[in-house]
Amino acid sequence: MPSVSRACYRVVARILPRDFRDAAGPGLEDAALACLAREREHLGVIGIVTGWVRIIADTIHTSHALWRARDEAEDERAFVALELEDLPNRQRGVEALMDGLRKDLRYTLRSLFRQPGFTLVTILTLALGIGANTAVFSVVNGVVLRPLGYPEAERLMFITSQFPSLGFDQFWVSPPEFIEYRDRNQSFESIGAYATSAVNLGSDPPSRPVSAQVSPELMPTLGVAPLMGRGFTAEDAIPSAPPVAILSWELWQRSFGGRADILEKDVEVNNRATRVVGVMPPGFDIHDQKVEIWGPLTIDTQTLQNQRGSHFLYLVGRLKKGVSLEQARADLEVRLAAWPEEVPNTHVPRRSKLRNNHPMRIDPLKDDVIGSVKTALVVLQAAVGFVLLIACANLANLLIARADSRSREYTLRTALGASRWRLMRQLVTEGLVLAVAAATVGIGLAVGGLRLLLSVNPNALPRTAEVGLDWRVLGFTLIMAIVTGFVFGLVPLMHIGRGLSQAMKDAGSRSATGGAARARLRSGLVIVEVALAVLLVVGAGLLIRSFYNLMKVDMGFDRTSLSTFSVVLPGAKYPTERRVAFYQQLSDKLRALPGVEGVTAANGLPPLRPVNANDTDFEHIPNLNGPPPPDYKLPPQNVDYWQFVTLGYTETMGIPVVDGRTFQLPDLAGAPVVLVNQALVARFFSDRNPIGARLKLGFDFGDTKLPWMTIIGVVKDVKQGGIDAPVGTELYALIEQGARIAGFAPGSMNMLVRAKTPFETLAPLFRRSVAELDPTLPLVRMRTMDEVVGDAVARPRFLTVLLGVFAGLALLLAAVGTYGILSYLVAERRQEIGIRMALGADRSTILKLIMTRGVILSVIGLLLGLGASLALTRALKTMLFNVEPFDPATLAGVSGVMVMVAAVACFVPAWRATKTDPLVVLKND
Amino acid sequence: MSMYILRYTSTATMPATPAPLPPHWFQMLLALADRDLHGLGIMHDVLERSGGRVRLWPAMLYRNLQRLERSKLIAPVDGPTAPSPGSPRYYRLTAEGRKRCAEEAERLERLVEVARARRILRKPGSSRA
Repeated sequence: MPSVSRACYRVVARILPRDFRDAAGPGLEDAALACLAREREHLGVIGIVTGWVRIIADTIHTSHALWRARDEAEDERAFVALELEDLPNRQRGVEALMDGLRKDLRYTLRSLFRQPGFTLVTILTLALGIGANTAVFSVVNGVVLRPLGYPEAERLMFITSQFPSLGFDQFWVSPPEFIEYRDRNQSFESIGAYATSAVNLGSDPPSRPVSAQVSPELMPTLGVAPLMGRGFTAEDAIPSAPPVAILSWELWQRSFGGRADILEKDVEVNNRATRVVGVMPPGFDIHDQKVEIWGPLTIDTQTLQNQRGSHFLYLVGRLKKGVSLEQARADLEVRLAAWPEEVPNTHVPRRSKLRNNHPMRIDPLKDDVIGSVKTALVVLQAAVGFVLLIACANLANLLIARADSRSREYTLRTALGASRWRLMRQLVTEGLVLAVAAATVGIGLAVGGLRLLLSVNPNALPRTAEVGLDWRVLGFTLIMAIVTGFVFGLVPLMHIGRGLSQAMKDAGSRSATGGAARARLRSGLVIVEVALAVLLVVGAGLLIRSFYNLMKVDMGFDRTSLSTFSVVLPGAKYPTERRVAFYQQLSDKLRALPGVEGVTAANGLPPLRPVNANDTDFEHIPNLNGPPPPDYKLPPQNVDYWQFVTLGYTETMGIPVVDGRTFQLPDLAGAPVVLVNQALVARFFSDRNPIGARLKLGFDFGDTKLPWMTIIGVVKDVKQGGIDAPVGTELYALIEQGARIAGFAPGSMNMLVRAKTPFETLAPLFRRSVAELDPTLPLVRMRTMDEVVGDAVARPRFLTVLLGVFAGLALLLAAVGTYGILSYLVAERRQEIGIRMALGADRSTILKLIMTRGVILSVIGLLLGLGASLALTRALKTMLFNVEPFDPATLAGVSGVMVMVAAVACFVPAWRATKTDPLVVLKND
Repeated sequence: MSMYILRYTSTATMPATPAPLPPHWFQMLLALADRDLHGLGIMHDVLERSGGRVRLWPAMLYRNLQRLERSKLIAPVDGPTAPSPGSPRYYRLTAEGRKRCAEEAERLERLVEVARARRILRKPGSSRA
């Protein structure tokens, strides 16, 4: 036992300086063992524990005391040596400078190593700041700054149409509009069109990659050629052409193992044998859609004029060399003016003051890809920059304290002949060494943090595949490190700058001259810190409130214990009538699962789904599809969402029926009926009862003439365009009726299951149910509705969490800063406090004295921060939901939090001040 | 220049006027008053004399031994056995150490007398009736 204890103590004693151990000899270990035996004898088992605790505490304490004594002695020797060594060659010239720098560096490293606590705290604080900045900047760089991954991407434009009367600011373009604009414009080298969807790919297991139908011009317009094989030709785009596809490099690798013989082989796409004609290079994509399989866009030129109402294409154009965006827009205006004359049809793009206003717009492709994220990222970058500033202010304070304790060194070195420049060089070297070390650690933190950030929130940002560290990010970090290094170095110099002669006078005496300037500087730093923290906390507070409002929004349906997945039935295998049968069989199977209370299906999944915007005729609103008056200019009415559902949708989703009735069993075989939402009633039935009114699709569906459908009920509004967007007009139709009457059934449905059984239990059962009906069908997007809602708010959540973290960090740093300043203040005023207490001041007076000082600083900072936030939170306006940038509740809440944090940060040093023993203080001074 | 340094540093490390001895120094010096002891011996002596109340810990003990030695209050001496690598070092009170120890004892004695005069303490020998 003693030998074990001895070995243990030998390890513990390593903390002590070596020469101390050598001098003490074996007596040290003997004494330790004796102490342990003594404790054990005295207290038994507890004694073993307390004995070791005391021994370790004793070792650490002694070691600390020894190192400190040694450092003081050694520092002095070191800088005296430094200056003396420098004496003979104190001359100008590059060589001397380099030599000096080398010495500075050596001296700096030595002094930093000798203060491991200070060095570690400084480097870690800075590394956090620099790391967070680097991480956010690499996102800004990848998403906002870096050009899109196409050659001469700045010439690529995104072309869309508008329906101002329907509130659509960026809408798709119809095939005839595409062809007419492509052929007649003067500003574009080429224009390509595309539409995205997803296909069932007959791989093993069946998968459902995102697909894009692209016109033959699209890839040349983007300036990217296939890596292997060929692009699409005009022949591929003829409706009767044999089906062909181009694979993305990623899909080729993942599903086909990167086999080189894939070209000219057939793969099964939507149950049709499709020939692979090419493979795109890695990373090729359009509009960040993560497209993995490309097919030709077939446009039937025979029936082109009938497709005017069918807007489903996005256009990308490459501007001619030397043509600016403004010129292209001016040219577009010329086209819009000429269009109605060249094409005699009511439904052509035009700019007019009437409701048929249907202009087009041109935007840089990159702006459209990035969208609203730019503001958010700029805000985040600013926030994280503020955090770094606060960290810098804290560290500057630390450095001033260090400079104070080193004023004797500076004085002595000046006396030895060191110039001001010489000292400055030394200080800047120290700052740079710290900052560069911090930047190195920070880049490591940034890499880890970035990976974490993107894996937690892969869908919150566009272009995440392009986010990474590149030379620009590294350059940014380097510049940041150098700037912080200089700031660090120079802050203590400002302090010395009050005159070295003064410093020399001070060094010997305990005079307080210069203390006032120093106190002002430090107080200023605290105020700035608190103000910046307030700014960040206000921003975070607003976002949190906004997010809370988002989550509080009534989505119109009950999402608890509701889960969903979707299936896609390829047209080749599932004609319309088989689709309805399939959905019914699947619903029956799901209903039989344990704990299931209701099953339904819908082609659009709330709360966020693409708009349909189908032209719709209302019997009571005359328009062109009715009996046409010769000069009538009104286009068809338009309904935002046509929702096809199965029987029992409103019941399973928990959507209340406000008026009339919902679908019932006899409707399956009965006359065509629809449900409408409150928004539709408000828009089209403001003056009449909707129940019993009739409407129909505004265009014919193939050869089928569509019948009128009767409105049987009004249901509560359900969110479809996003939680933060106003509800659009919506009508619900039964898919059973659609198939029977119009010969139409959606090929893709979202199955919705309400069940008491946990989702984890249900998920494999869902898969089995689908596989029992058709093992080749992939199941996609299987989740709970809570997750669906969560995904719909992924971006606001991402922002809120990040800004929240930064604000918390800022708050913590500001609190530590305030605490540090006050502690220092207490130490500096110990004498004064001692005298006051000796003269009869009681503890509460002292407490008040110190607290007042701290609270005044904090309150000034708070007021400044609130003022700045009034000016700056306006930048957040586009990101807020149901909260004004000037939100009194948030501002009051933030003020309360700040005052509380400041009070705690001030209380600790103030309370410690009351512990001052006047006798000890007065005696020592 | 070097003159300046010498003057500067020497004033900085000038010893202060004799202050009261720290209690544990006094205890350690007392332990060495009548015999030479090694560290462990000092520790045991202090512990026994104080009835287990003053417990010294190894690193603190040796650091203070070094400081006492540097202040020339104690000096290392050869132990009763021949010095070998494994044997502990013995210490002896120096004349200066004895003087400081005595001064401290006198100081304490004066305090005790005051305490007696003010009837905080009873006369030695009187029973606690």
